[in-house]
Amino acid sequence: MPHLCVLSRRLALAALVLSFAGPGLAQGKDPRREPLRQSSLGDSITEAVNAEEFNPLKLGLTRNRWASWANGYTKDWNSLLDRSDVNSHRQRIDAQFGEEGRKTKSPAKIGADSEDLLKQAAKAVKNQADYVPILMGQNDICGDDASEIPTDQEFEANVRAAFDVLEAGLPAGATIYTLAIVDIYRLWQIGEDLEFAGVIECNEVWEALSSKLIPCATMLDPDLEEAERLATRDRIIGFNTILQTVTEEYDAADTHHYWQYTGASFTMDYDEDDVSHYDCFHPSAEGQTQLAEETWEDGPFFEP
Amino acid sequence: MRRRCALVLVLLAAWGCGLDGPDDPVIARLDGEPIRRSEVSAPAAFRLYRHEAQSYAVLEEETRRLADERVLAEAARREGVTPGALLARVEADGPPVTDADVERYLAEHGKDAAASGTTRERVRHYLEERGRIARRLAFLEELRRQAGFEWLLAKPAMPRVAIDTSGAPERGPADAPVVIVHFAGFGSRDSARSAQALARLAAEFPGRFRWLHVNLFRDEDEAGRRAAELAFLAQDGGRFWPLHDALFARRGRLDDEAIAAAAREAGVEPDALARADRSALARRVAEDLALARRAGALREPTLFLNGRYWSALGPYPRLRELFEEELARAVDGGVAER
Repeated sequence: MPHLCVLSRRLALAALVLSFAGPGLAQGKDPRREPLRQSSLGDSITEAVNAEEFNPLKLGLTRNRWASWANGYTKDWNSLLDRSDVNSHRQRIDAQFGEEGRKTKSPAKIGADSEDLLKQAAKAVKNQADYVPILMGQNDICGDDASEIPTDQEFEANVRAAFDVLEAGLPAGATIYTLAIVDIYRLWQIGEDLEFAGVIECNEVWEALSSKLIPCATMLDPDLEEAERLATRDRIIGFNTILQTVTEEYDAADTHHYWQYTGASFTMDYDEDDVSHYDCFHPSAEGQTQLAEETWEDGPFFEP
Repeated sequence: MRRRCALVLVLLAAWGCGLDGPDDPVIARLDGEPIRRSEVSAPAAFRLYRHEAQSYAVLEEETRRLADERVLAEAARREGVTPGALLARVEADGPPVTDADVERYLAEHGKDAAASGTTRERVRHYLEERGRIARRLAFLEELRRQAGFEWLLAKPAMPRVAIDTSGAPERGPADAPVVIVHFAGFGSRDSARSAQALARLAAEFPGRFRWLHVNLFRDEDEAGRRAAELAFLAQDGGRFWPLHDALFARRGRLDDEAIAAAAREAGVEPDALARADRSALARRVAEDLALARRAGALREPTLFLNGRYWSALGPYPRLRELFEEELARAVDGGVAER
């Protein structure tokens, strides 16, 4: 298991650096860059799929990029179309740092999982991003069955491979912000509450999709037992622990970049209105707004 | 002093109950005239119910959590360990996951028998987690049972909504035992499907229900909005239902050309919208959308069968079942409600 060797080496290095630098390590880093060049990594949530508008001809997946927690934007035509303003990280950066020199990219892709993180990280490097928010892992958890959920070792290796690329290629002073995988169990609970109330909208929506399109059978399949759902949820918690540990480890060892993790995306208490009315799965524009707010306020550039 | 205040409050409460009745309290006054809860809760019944159901679910979840905490603390005390240690022991106290368990899981999920070692490792890990959690859940359930846990709160009942559909287009006998209000948008494939389901129901149960249409469409559905406006013009000219059917025959694929073609088929002047007072039509559309919101129809298609909510995304057999229930209820002496 080479990743464990890497972990021990890194921990040793981090301990060594800490023993000399003490609590002033952050001061020992290269100065932090303003987050003007943003490259957001992730999956359909970062693409704001089905957040506000829906085209049934597109296999049930419609990108609503203006409503993304990371790269969402407002333009004149958006207000004409009555589209939401989610006050994304990008918009908050504009407000805080100005728009001059701004470049925003989104290597995030529908269906991406931790295996795709490496490719997306390479794009962030190519973009020479100053700020790389990452929300990845939902598709590692969501499969047709448990055999599609990677082991901790596989997941960690994928994350490390991508982080190595970011560490080696991002400009000095760049910030990498890792978000926890969202609590998909909560989504199931929302559908369950609705079904209990006799409303059964979400369950009807999921059933209206063909079985292959159940957006997350490992959590939402109606035939699963509670222990099976909770086992899937435990995998989310396990992966989030890995994301947190690895991010903190890189932050301790990397003197050129700033690495930060937040669990806000997991603990966020979203309700029925925060979930897309089109697929009962992805965050709605309201959910994206909340995701943007909570992760920003727990993030590296928040100024109270 | 405190006791006197309490007494005054009790007397006031008693007086209040006597005045308003406990089941239908006065919740506001206008020009001195009372507004009773029933006056506003009937049209908003489904929206209120959703809040009640949500409160109920939260209370149940928290009560169960509290009960678990207490029975676990008691069991741990008896054994002289901490609750955490007791749970850890329970979770660990199970048979190991065998190769046969892994194979069974793979077979049940239609996986190739030649699945890779990694796949097997993934499944093994999952089964171990699942077993651990299942043991914990079963243990807590047994403790609750032994402690005589009872959940006493009654589940809120789904209400019937009084929907003021005056002026809405309708078809079917005026005295039909079942009234179905269809909140739907002409530009939606899902609404087209539910309209098709209602047509099938009408064919199976001729003359047994009255069908009312109320516009409800997604914000961005501009073609659906234009179609709704044209449908109001058609209604004024007595051609609503032919246009309704012609529009839904497009299965949600609407553009200007499709709307014009549907209008021609229905005997409606395709250019009528160009000459119409669009702001008046927009107001009528807005009234429909507001009616949907008040009734609790959050998205199209939604049906109310004699005031009983049903998400019309569901399958036809379930619609038929609900309809038969309503029919039986009406025949047994119930009254058709909008």
